[in-house]
Amino acid sequence: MTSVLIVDDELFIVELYRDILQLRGYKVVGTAFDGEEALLKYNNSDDKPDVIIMDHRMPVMNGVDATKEIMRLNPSQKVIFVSADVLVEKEARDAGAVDFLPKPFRMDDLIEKMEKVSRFH
Amino acid sequence: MTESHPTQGIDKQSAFFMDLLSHDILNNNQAVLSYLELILANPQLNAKARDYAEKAISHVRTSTVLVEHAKSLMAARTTDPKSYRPIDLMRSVTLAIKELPRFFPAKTMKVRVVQGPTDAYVLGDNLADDLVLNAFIDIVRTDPGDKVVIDVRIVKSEHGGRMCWSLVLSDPSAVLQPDMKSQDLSALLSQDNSKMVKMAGFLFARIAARLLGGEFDARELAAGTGQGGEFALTLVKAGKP
Repeated sequence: MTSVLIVDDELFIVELYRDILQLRGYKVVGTAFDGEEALLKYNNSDDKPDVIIMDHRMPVMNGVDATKEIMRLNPSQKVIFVSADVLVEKEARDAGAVDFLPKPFRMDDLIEKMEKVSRFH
Repeated sequence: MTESHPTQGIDKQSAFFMDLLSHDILNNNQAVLSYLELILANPQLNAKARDYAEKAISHVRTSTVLVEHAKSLMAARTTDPKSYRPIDLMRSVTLAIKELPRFFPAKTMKVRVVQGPTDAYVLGDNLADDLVLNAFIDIVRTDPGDKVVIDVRIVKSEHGGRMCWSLVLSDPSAVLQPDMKSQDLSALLSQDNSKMVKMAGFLFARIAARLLGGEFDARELAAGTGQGGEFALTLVKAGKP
């Protein structure tokens, strides 16, 4: 079962991802509300998540910076960037994100990207 | 010393609030959209409830488009049109045709490309893509029927002494609001708010097209009959990138 870490500063968005992903058979192994918390949880976990869903605009540390740090720790980590800021797509991909999904997205689009990324983990 | 424009500070503040507001609205739209999709994924959902959920999705999408329009306009106000990259108009049309059914789940739409040259490049960047989609949404909105037929033509034109391409969308069943036919933008913008909100998409198209050095016009298919409508989006011609 593909494991997922969800990083978003909005609780209702974290819950939304959890609802969608669990319904579609993914295992949500952790949540974080900013980039620094994500980094800390990532560092402290023995089993790294197969996929990280990463928001950009968050307090303390944004998604691009968090992605850069995570990629420095583990260059093969799969990060799917999800943001309402479409202008940040290039930065996110440069930081190491394998895919970018603009908000608002269709549920099927998220699942399609999850399946695509999961195939290669 | 360079003198700053008196509205510069206000624009910067407006852009900041717009950014905050749009980010939160899009997040909330995301949640509404996804939970409605989860409801629709239930095969036992009855037809009436399905119909309501689909209508709600259509309205959430419209709200998202309005937010995107406001963001695009705010960005366009501070961008030099010459810095926009060329856009393949036919490609924008193809994308818009693909997107259109999501906004009108209760309507059946047939789009016929009567004239679609492959060398029609215009200055406009992503704003041109938004404008094309908006033009399609606008013409479908003006058609009160459930079955909509739109003819699409891309033709060479001239505007303000510059060579342009015009995207012309015609619908024989469209019913245009009289205000749409007016060329006077300031008159449209000075109307009461309720009227303006109803024409938000149309106003966005006209303001954005003019910011790009082009135009967005509405006219009756047969003048004076009140029946049938045509929208023409004119944008400045660009070379192939």
